[in-house]
Amino acid sequence: MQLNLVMGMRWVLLVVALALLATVPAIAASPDEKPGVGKAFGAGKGDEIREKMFQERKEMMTTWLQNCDRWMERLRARVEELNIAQESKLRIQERINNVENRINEIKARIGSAKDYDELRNAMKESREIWLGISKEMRMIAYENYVSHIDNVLRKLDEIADRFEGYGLDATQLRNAINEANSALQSVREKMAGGTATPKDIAELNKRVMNTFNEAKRLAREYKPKPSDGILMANVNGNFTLTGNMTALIKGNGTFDYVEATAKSESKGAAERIEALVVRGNVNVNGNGTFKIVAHGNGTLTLNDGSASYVFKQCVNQKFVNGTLSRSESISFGC
Amino acid sequence: MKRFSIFLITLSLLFLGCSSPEGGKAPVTPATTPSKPTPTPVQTPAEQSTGSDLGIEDIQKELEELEKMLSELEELENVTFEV
Repeated sequence: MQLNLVMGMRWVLLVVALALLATVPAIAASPDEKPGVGKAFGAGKGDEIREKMFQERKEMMTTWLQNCDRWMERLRARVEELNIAQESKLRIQERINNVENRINEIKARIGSAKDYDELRNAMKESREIWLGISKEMRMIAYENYVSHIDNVLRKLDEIADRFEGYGLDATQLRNAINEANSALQSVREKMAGGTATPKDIAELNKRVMNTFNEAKRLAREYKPKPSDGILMANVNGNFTLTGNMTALIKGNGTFDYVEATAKSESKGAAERIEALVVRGNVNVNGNGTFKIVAHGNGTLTLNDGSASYVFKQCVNQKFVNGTLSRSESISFGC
Repeated sequence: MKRFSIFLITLSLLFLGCSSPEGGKAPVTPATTPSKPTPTPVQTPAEQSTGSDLGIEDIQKELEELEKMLSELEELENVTFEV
């Protein structure tokens, strides 16, 4: 009888032990979710963990907010540098202001959180604010990006003129510029509809980098002689270009030219051109609106109209700006 | 009774083991944003000779800056507001 009682008690104790085993780890492992229960078994530990989480998370968010501030400041500076209409610039700056104000709201909420629970609420509110501004932030960044890329492609186009005016074959560079411009146009259209994605920007960036790499490749072949002068002029009127040089003439108008090289000579008259490269002993007379890029020794005379130019007398000198009036001329080369 | 005492001691040890401060799960750490390293564009030295006035270096700097800004934006967007 006594033996049966002992055996029965053993079973009861075993059941109690199993129940305790099932309960204790659950309590020990979830002090944060059930602070009331956790306190009974290890309130100190739970509070410590919550305090640690609070400090770490707040620190992380403070750093993130500082990075946001810095990034927005840089974006503002980049927009300020943009070569766009003042009105467009002000419009973008206004959008930046709005985003910054919303970020300041997040900053105020996170900054005022004094404990774990307050921080958790602040984070919830901040998430809502962030959802409202993150897309806008990206769109402003894209607008800044495409405006700068537009500027870069213009510069690369001018560099292509320099290469052609030196006598290099810039066909591949021109093609790359055209492809990049198409991608830019496509991104602009998508941005107008609010559908531009990071993939579109990555594709545009890839095209631009291809173009830039092609320009760098040609730049390695661009080596004017020390005795060469360089002239880049925009002419609106009648001009004469003479001398020993390589020159790119592009624009709209009519002209007569004699192109002489060691091997061949050709002549054209009263042709309407878009772009032409002349080499050797050049004697060109043109009438219209042209851009001229010349390397070598020669003279540009403005017979009628107006012209502006940038030129170097010799390659190792600095560029100088100037304008030409009727019957004035500029000579280049050493 | 002797067996009963041994059982109680074992049970106490088990209880102490389970409620030990170092036992059980590791403290829950906050969800952190994986910080992606900012990709630094590969620097390819541009031609410095007579072609330096072409402005190739300036364009390179500009492209690097634009790329950096976009990758930093991506990093900022990776924020998580979970606690």
